[in-house]
Amino acid sequence: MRALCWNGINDLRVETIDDPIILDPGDVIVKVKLSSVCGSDLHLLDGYVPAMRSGDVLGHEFLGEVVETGAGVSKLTKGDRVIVISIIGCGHCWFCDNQLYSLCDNSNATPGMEETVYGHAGAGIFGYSHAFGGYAGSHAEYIRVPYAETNVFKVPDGVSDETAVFVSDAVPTGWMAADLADVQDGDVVAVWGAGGVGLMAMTAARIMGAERVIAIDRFPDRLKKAHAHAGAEIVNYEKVDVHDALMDMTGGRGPDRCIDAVGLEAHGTGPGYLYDRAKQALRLETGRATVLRQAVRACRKGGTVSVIGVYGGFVDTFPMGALMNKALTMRGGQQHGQRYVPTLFEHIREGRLDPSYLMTHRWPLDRGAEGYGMFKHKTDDCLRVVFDPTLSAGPGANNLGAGGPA
Amino acid sequence: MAYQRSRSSKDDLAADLFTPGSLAVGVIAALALRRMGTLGLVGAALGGAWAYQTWRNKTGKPPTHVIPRAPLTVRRSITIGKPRPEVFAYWRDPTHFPRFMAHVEDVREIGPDAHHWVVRGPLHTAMEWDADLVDIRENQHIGWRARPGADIVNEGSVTFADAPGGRGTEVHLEVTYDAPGGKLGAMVARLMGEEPDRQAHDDLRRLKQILETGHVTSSQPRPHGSR
Repeated sequence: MRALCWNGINDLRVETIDDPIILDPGDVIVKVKLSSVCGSDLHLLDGYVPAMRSGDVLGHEFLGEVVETGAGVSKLTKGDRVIVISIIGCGHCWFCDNQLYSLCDNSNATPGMEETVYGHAGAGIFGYSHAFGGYAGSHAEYIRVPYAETNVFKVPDGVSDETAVFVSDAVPTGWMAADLADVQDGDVVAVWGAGGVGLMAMTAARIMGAERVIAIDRFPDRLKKAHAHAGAEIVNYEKVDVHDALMDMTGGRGPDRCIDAVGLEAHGTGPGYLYDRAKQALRLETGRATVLRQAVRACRKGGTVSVIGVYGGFVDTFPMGALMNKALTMRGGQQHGQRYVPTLFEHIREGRLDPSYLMTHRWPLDRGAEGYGMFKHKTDDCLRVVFDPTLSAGPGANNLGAGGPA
Repeated sequence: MAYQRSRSSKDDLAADLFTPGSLAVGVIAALALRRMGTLGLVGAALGGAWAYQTWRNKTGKPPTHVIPRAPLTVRRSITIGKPRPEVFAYWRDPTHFPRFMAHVEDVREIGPDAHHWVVRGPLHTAMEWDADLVDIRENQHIGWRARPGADIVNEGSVTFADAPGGRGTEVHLEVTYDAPGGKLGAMVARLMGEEPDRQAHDDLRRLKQILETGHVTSSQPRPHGSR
């Protein structure tokens, strides 16, 4: 089969590799129809997540068709149109029993590195390095999915592929950001990062009762989409001071809930940002804490900071004094998508939630490297490039442009 | 009950590794590594250690420790989400061990509560011994001890306790053994990425996977591009 492989820092190539096979009775093989890039992949491409090996297949947000089932699978059959949650739950451990699927005890087949660095290992993740299980990713024609009955969900009739694919990761991750933030009726919710996850967090916050949502980013097209699709007020941090703007917009209170949908490769301005860039380049710091510092400082006293952007290791000069003295609650985590899928499909079917506009580009797999380049540099108003392994390369590839699918 | 635990084996090993003698070994090892690569060193060290041990076992001569030796104790714990009798029953049959102990190739019953073990060491060397189950307390504790003449002198025990809040069973494993080639062997094992502590932990994780999900979690073999 054809697959998009990581061959080194910012070196992606499409190669012909072996088809996946069923390894365990609970496995299924999915024929991939759509597989999205994700901001968290950029950390892999840029070398911030160690334990990538040359030849690893990327991709973890996907939709497809079940083509083979293991002997122990009874709830899924060949031909099912499905999405798969990016983060793998075994469905049997204490964490899965408590719907904390991304903390699964058993699905990470290579837990050593996480245990050493974090104290404990979380769940395995498709196409996300050998620290997270060493599973092959979805930017390929076929993918093996372990513990399928826990991680694979049939797409309800009437929900399009272009909508459903994002229920694999961007939608539940954004939803969980708002859930962790504990959004209450009447809240002002500030979201740093208007990428796929941030936009979904804004919509989720609205559905959960937020009265106002504020989007913070530097790309005008993304801020425009935040305004158009999530009714967000916008802050361009390259034009204004974020803290001053947030204080102005909230009568000095600060946002009740602050969501970091950016993570370790945050951009910013000023000396703090340059300090982080320098230390990170020297590998003295693994994450840039620009967003975290702003969020903690701006957050309303007694409010919540929800961290859904990915961090890998350590950050410097974290404002612990502000967190403690302002009695903030800080929560974070990888998404427990399995818990949210039924709710999310319900909101989608009833028209409250439509992630399909995230797909600005639908490209063949062969344009993988180009697609990631565009996604990384956010050219052509790109929000998400979604690879369709059934498309052939060359002219005729469907560029949906900035407007999204019709 | 107050928590009491002596220095971990890790600390012991670290301390051991910094005795003057071991420092010398370390320097030699470092030089050898640069000249002939890890495998050469490991081969030489283990080859020497085993040749010596085999000679010792065959001749029955009293051990004169040319290579420094120190018993190594490994302790690891894990919580398994299954009732205590179920976890105990699985461990009560040592022929299950090869399913989750990566280095154990075969465990065969040779008598009531007695087994013959075959364990794979670095570089595909095989080590064997007979061991007896000892101190068995139903649903609480199982011990084992290698009989004299073992390739690796070892004994161990596993204790089972109810985890609080209905979270299943806490399994506490403790194994003491003479590392092959003593400290040098342990150091070499570390170079090979086969740290005894890590091994024990990985073994317990696999046991948990089997009991909770029915099989060991696998991501290999998997399709991949050119390396």
